Amino acid sequence: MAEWVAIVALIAATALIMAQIVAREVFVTGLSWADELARYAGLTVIFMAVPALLARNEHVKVDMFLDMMPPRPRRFFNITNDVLMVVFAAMFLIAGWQFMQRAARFSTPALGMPNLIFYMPAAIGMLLLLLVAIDRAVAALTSAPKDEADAP
Amino acid sequence: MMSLVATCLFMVLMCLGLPIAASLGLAAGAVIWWYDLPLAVIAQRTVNSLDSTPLLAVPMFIFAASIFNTAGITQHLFDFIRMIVGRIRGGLGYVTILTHLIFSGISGAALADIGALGSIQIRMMRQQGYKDEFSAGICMAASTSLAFRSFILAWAMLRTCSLVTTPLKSRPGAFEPESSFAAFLRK
Repeated sequence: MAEWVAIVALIAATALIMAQIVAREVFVTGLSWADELARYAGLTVIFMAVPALLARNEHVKVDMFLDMMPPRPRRFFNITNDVLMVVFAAMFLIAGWQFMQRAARFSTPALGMPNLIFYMPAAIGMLLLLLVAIDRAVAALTSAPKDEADAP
Repeated sequence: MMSLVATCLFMVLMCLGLPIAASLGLAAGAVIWWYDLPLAVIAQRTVNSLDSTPLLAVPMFIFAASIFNTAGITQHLFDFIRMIVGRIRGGLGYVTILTHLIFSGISGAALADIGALGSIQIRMMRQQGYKDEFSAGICMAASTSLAFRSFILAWAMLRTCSLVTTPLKSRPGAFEPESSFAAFLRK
């Protein structure tokens, strides 16, 4: 679901920038709102991709040292990493909440979009990240004996 | 002291296999929390630094590269370079680096280079019996060093002189931007 939102937002960003170029080069007018909307779409792409990538376990990470470890500590660090992801998402949400106490009153310059909506993709993305991370951490903790049996 | 703690924490977390984005965020968050700075900074700075128009160009470079790929421009480019230096021993390595050189003049983005040329080049090198590690290494070195060259390219455009004629004598896999930069300076 988050992936589909990200795909639509990516297409929207591309189309908006194309529209901007056409407006500038052909019609010699500026679309001041298109740039901000394109950046908003870009933000949506980024923050929707974050939970989708975690769900697929495709975040960029250094797994060289993990692969060198024997299975038991590797499993321990895998669980630690999932828990740390939960901490990260929670920290970001708390930070966003504190920030919104002050910033929600203002709105963006070109569109006049309220800041609450402008920061919404980040909040939704991080909320989804929190849910995915909790799911992964719980799965990693409960499937402990089976993993050990599977491990070579 | 503050940045030292943050950097060390980031390195440790990254080496333990936490995703790089999260280890950056957690290291920064820990330091911010430890030094009693306002936590709201995290949300504000993250969103505001991602909210940038130049960043939107990155997916579009990759898009352009895949258009080039589908239209067959990269294949023509590759064949052209191969015609020139293909007969040298280890020629495919030279071909890879030179194609990246020309392509970086078109796109100017390292990731787009790999996206466009990497798939063709690694496939061809594998057919000719190159090791996978070697061909991946050449692609990485050639394209990321060309991110550096795009800066030189901007300079060359200011000086209105051609960069493609720069002699490139480096071995494949060697740190080559410096050598061609030196050659460029000699001109």
